[in-house]
Amino acid sequence: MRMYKEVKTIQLRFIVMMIIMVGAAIAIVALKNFAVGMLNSPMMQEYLKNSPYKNVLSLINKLSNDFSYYTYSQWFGKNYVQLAALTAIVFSFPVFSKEREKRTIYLLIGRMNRWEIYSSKISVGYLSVASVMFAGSFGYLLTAYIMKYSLSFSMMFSWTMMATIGTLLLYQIGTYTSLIFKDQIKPFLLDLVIYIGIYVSSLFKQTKFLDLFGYMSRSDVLKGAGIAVFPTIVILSVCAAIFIGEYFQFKYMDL
Amino acid sequence: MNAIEVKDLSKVYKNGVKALKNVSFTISGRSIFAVLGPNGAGKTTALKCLLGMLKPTSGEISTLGKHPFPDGVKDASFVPEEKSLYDWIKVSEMVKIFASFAPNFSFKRFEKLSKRLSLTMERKVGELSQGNRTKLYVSLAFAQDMKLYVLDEPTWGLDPLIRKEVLDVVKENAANGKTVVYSSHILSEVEEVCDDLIILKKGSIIYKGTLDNLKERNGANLSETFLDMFRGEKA
Repeated sequence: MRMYKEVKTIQLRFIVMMIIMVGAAIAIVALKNFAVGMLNSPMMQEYLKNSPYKNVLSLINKLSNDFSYYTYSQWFGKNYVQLAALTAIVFSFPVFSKEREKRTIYLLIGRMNRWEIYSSKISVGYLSVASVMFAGSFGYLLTAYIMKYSLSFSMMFSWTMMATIGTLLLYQIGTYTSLIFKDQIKPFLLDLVIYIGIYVSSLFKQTKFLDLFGYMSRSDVLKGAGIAVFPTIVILSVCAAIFIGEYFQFKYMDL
Repeated sequence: MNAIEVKDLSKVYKNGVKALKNVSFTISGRSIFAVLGPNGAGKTTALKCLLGMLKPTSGEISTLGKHPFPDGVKDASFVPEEKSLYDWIKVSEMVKIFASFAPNFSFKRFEKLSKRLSLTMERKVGELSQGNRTKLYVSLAFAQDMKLYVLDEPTWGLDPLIRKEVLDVVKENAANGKTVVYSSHILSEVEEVCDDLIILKKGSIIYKGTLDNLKERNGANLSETFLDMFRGEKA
């Protein structure tokens, strides 16, 4: 029952993110022939012949004939992860900051203990994030099935799990930034800075281990690698550490 | 039995502001206790400390027999100074949401109170006037059957008729064995309801005792006494 308030709070954002995620998944599959057809048009082929990138034509060929490759390059390796980051930020930045900014936190803190408030907020967020991620994946799979494209379920499962786990970490980081500020703008901006930082870290050898987006969209799954166990354990551990640390900060903070 | 015991309570905020300085007082059960003082005297800080919303810098608090920080007080209902609710929903939905997490909430009690306070149910919370917002908050708080009610400006924005109804609700609850901690700038209403009080000035208690003693000592009503205490001064 305690979660009812959180469900109502997140409801609209949940519906909007579901529509965006599932809509994008369906569109990517449904528009496959159109997108590849455009690349295969005589005019485009003529243009690409002069391209300095030698392997462009073979890539287009691969996009046309290998649906797993198309799936990775257009969905799990690109749009799905971008929407995952959007999902995490949309769900996380107002979690605590909005209650503190609008001073509705006193409505809660006067009636529930801090663990009840914290756990109901975070668990509803986790469930919402995971639901949106699975819906995006399932929407893609279902559309591919309807359109009679063959797709490896185990590949889809690996990408979905890693992207979801990565998004849960982004969400957990987002709830922490939401906790440390009393207004909604600062956590949103800090989340953006963190996302940019994660992306920039992927560009340097020394910081590549911080490349969360790379983990969420691993290309070696295409070669049958499955879920990367060690990074998954590390990410779940970091998530748990932030969850616990954030709770203790919330527990002992002045409200 | 004392409902609340506060001993040498001090609260210094992170920005260095000393909101409370070695404040000690007790609140007996089944009474209405007022916390008074001008703006910035430390009233709201004191109330939040009693409910475990703020961590005391030093000193001890026992609210209904337990340390309130950090886990709060299980058997208390709070009306804060800012009557902030969820603006994007209808009043009826707000009540449902509140009932989902507020302990000992009774829809029957709420219905009675809302009728008594002439509360509008079919509008969005965000469209309510300050007075209607106060009515809603007070109705929600008293729809919880609790041992302790902590009220910070519970009549803010109300017209005289509804204000009287709220004061009656407060008095009825105290008569039924509840403890009420009450803070307000409207001294005439404090005078009407409270038994004991403290007056805070710059974070320290300058008066602690019964209302009758205070009036007897000064030979005037509470408003005049209060004005005498703070004439020419800021908190």
